Amino acid sequence: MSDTPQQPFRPLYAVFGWVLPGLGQWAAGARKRGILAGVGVLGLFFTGLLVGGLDCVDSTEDRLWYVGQVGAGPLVIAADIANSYYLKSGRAAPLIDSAVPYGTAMNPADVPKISSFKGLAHSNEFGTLLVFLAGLMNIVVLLDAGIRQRELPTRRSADLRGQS
Amino acid sequence: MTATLLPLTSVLAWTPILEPAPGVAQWWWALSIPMAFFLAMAYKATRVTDITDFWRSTIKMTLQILASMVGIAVGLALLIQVLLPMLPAE
Repeated sequence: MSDTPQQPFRPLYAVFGWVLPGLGQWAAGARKRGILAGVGVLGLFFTGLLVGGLDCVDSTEDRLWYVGQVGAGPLVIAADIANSYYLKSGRAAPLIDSAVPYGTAMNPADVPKISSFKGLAHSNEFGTLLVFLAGLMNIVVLLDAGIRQRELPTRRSADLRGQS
Repeated sequence: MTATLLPLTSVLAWTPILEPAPGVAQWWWALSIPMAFFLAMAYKATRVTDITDFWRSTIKMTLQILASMVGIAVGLALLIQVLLPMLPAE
């Protein structure tokens, strides 16, 4: 059991942490932790975007996933807007007819159009999952930022600095 | 020759971020490595008491996540391919 008093929760640092992953810890004085946590969350986010493309962040087609993803901050909202602006509008790649469900009769003019950059199967699944994990992990990180105390050099880190 | 050139051309034609990465169906399982590593980084940045222990703890947690995933996969494969076929048909 720790004998250090619990820091009261400070919502402002948690908001900083939502705006940019790790910024809450940075503002609270634990700068190295902030950078490391930010690299972890942003690493998940950008790996997800690289694997699944912009289509893996979609507030209309993947609503429940999006609710978790948005924990990673405004970058996710920007990715969703970019998805609508570049992919769904057909600006980045031509729109193609989506598959008509088997056994249904549909007028060819009524078949919904999708972007030819739309992610399918594993790329879409893993991309969506990675961005979702970024959102969930950032909630852990920003809650920590709310109670994080200023980082003081420990005896061991001071010893390591003295050796180098 | 054509078979080796095809993946290369699909990578060269790839627009990162805008479109999905090519050929993920062949190497999707390898994505669990960066996933476990970045997860461990974000988690350990909040949990280690001494930040000098950060990289050691992160690598340890990454290996623990990967070993757990492999263990669960092996366990489920044994259950489905070995144990379940041994049950009586009726």
